[in-house]
Amino acid sequence: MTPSRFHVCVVGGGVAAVSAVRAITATWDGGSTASKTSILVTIISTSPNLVEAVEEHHQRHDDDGGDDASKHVSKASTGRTGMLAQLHVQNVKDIASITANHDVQVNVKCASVHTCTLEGNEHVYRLTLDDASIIDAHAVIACSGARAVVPTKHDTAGVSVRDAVDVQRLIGELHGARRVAVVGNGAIALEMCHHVLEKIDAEVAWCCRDATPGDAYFDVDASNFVLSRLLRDDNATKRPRTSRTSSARTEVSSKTTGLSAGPNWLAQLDAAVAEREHTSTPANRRRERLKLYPNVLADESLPAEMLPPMARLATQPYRHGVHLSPPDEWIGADTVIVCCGVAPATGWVASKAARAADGGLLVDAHMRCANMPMLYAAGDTATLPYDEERPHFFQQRTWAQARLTGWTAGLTCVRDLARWVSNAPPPSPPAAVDEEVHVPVGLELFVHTTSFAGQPVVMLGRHDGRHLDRCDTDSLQTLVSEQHDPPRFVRATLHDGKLIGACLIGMEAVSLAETFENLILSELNVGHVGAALVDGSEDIEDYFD
Amino acid sequence: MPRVTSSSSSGGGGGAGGVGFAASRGTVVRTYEEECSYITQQGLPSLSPSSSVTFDIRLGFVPNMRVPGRFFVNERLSSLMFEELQQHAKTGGSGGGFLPAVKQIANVAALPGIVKHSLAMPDVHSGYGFAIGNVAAFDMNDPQAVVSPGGVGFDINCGVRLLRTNLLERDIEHDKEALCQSLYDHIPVGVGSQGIIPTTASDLEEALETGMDWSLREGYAWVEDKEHCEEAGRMLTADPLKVSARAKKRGLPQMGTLGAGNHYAEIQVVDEVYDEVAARKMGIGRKGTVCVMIHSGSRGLGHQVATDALTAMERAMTRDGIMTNDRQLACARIQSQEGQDYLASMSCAANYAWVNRSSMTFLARQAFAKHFKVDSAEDLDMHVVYDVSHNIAKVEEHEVDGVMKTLLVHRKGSTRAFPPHHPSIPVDYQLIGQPVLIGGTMGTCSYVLTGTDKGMATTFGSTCHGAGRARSRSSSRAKLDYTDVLANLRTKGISIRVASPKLVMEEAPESYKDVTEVVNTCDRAGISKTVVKLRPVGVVKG
Repeated sequence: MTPSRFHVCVVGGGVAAVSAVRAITATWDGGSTASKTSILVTIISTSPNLVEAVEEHHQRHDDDGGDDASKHVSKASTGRTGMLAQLHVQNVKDIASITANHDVQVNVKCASVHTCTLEGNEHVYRLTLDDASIIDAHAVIACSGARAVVPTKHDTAGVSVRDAVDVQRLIGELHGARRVAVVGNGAIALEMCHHVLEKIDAEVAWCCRDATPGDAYFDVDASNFVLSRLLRDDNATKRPRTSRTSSARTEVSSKTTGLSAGPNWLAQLDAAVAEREHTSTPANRRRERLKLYPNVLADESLPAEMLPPMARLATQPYRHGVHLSPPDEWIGADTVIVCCGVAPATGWVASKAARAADGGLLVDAHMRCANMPMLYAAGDTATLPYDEERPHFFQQRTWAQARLTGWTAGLTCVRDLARWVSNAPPPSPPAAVDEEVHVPVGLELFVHTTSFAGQPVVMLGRHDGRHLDRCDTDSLQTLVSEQHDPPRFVRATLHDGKLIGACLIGMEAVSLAETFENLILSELNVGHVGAALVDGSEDIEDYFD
Repeated sequence: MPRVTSSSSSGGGGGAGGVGFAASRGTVVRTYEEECSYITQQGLPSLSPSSSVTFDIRLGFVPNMRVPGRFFVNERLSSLMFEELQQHAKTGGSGGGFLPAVKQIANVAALPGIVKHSLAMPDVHSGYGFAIGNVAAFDMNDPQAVVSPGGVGFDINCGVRLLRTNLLERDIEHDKEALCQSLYDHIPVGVGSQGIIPTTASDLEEALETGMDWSLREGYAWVEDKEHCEEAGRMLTADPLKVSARAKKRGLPQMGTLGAGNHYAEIQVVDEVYDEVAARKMGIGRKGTVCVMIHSGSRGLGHQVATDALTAMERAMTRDGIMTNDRQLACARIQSQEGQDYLASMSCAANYAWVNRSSMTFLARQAFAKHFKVDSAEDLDMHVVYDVSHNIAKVEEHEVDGVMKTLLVHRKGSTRAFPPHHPSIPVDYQLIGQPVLIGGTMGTCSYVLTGTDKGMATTFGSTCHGAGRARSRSSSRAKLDYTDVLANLRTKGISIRVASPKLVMEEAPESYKDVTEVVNTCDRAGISKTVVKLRPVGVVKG
């Protein structure tokens, strides 16, 4: 029996959720039957402000100064500028903009979901909300985000960076800090260290569990390159600008789950610090000010007054102590910043739904949950296993992937509902072969565009060499080219003469991105090109034009 | 001992091995002087400006040449070409990854069915198989004649479109930043960017088949736009069935996007007018006139179409016993299934590129109309001046040794430049000749030229396409330091050892690109005529 109107619940109000709703409204055509079936979409979000990711083109300059606009044109005419399309989040200004479809009605409900279970054989999901109300839905798209991971025993004074609210808290915490401990080794940790070294007159103790800082993002060569940028003393250098937009445009709820900080979070921080500290801060002595603690687990942090006596001695005169294990020692810091990644927020989803080791809902390339019909997950909530069919893609919990997976979940949901219309009751998914055509090309190649230490960065495919254990090592080749003035880092990894991944850092390097993207996807043999592929001696873009 | 797996000297490319490959490299080792004895400059600069920029490559320069090679370069450009050849001779061809452009021109002259000359424009430089700037025509009536994807390039129908406006530079002086920003906001650029204009799989099929007719039907183009595009923005030989599912998948999200790399949209103003009659005819006769130049192509779709064809043709070469001097010159007989399939799919990619440029035209018009608060871009007279393709193969009629022949003309990094009165050019340009749009390197000046009778007679009606080479002369390659890896890839506990040349460049490579030299050389050779110089005031780039 086909209902006259489908009810789809989208749980979450972030990038993935909005993208999923957009996909539904953009593609639902009533189920291609004479009597049109409509869809009611209910977005259940803890915040009334929905946010979405849009591309924004950030102007990158070698230096700063002068007002942006005049700079941009004068630079433009000398051809020294370039653009990177980075995602930026903004509030959905007009809900009507995502509901332009007569057959789809979209409602927003401000609540959080307690449970979601499948009701017998009725093909209906029952959601209970925190206001005790109950909603039944034919399909559920889980986009409830993730929460920051805080390793055991970090007291509340430690700030974890997960969402924009954390950034606001951080601004307060950093004020007057003499030493900042950064725990974690991902993108946020790296940028945090950069920020403190650049903007604040404080020391940094960087505690990471890997041997190389930046390991969560980079291979060793790339992270050494970034680190050397990070530690470069240059009094003449004006602050590199992370973003043209410096004000926080995003309002988010103060819940622990939700919107990740995203690429612009640092701009907020910069702006706030600039406002607060009118004095210029010394951006030098960085090498001395940064102390690295590799291969450690920072498993505990406490305010000074709660520390054991020996530890209190070791951590003086700082306001906090951080315990490192190994080597079982305490170090002191005024502020402790924990940025150790995120854990998917899936507690509300029926325990029956298959989960991956990280707690995320296990999905296939169409964002269908593994063992529950009409249940989809996208964004940080979903875990997408590595698929040898798509060797150049892997999951990373970024906005770009939230948007892509959200969109994909919406499209898949629409396809499944259309099949429900034509052959009720709710169908099981079609054969994987027939569905292959619907896998978006975005899921065939990992692409991440960002910036670190003021330099634009593009990562493509297996840029850091992951999943190479499946390759015959004799057929692997890596090419690295680096130069510091101007900064340019290009690493290409080849397998059987075919490009499988690349890491590009610096304005000149990122201009290779499209050519490399094409070479990876086309699987063209480029082994004969050799070092010319990376060293800039030949115009590679033209060669493969 | 470090194990070095860098295979830069093997010369192989393309894909699976084992295809017909005459292995010219390495068979003849000649000194630079011996190499030069095959190349002759036609005349002295003092006697004839046109013949002094014309160089001929004699048969025998590489094995199996069927016709001579010919290239057009002035003093500065020629020194680059010969320097490259010298480098190649010094290392016996094993020094670097790329063949010098002169060798590439000659290797193309050895392909079956080529007629008259393998030609190269002044902006010639090394490319995949064919040099960028190479023009080669194959006799459609010769059953042995081939078509080669390398002669078209990966970015099929990469091209340039110029829009004019009725604005003058002073009209935008105070708010060109805002105008640029508006363009940025409208045109999707860059790696991973998605098209704004919503497209479904069936839209894509139609776009591939009908090109700008699709844009017109969907309301993204004006009727007059078609008239000012080569082939009226639609290759009739397109067959979407010949385009692989993978190519379509790559094409879908990128429809209507500019792309990164060397693609750009630029706001320009008319800086110099050299031919007032022609310039006025195009509506850009007044100094300071604001224009918009869009340089883009078929993006991932074209790349996939080209790669698919290269793979299919390597198999066909073995079957048909076709031999080439370079493995990158994979080709198939024009009349073979592979040849026909490629022409059908290439035409689809060409149509896609026109749709792309049309979509961006639509977005640029929207941006301008919004910025200047007019109802329609028509009020700003934002007409397409012309739209050229500089990576394409087309069937054309040309006179060869006094006989009219039907030829398949490959232009890779070269622009068609038909003379006045040619039937293929629009009615309003009949008296001035086909407009040719030359985009400089992003941020340098650009040019508008027209085709000439001399070009029709000597270069199959072709001229240059851009700024030319950027080739470093730094000795960076000599500093290659092979390190026995360095399990530096983040392999999470799995130790992988691969030889990795680690290269540290001490100086930025010195590149040389000068669109003005290129355009002037074409003028000297008489293959095109300079009409207008454009200066950029703002750039949108991926």
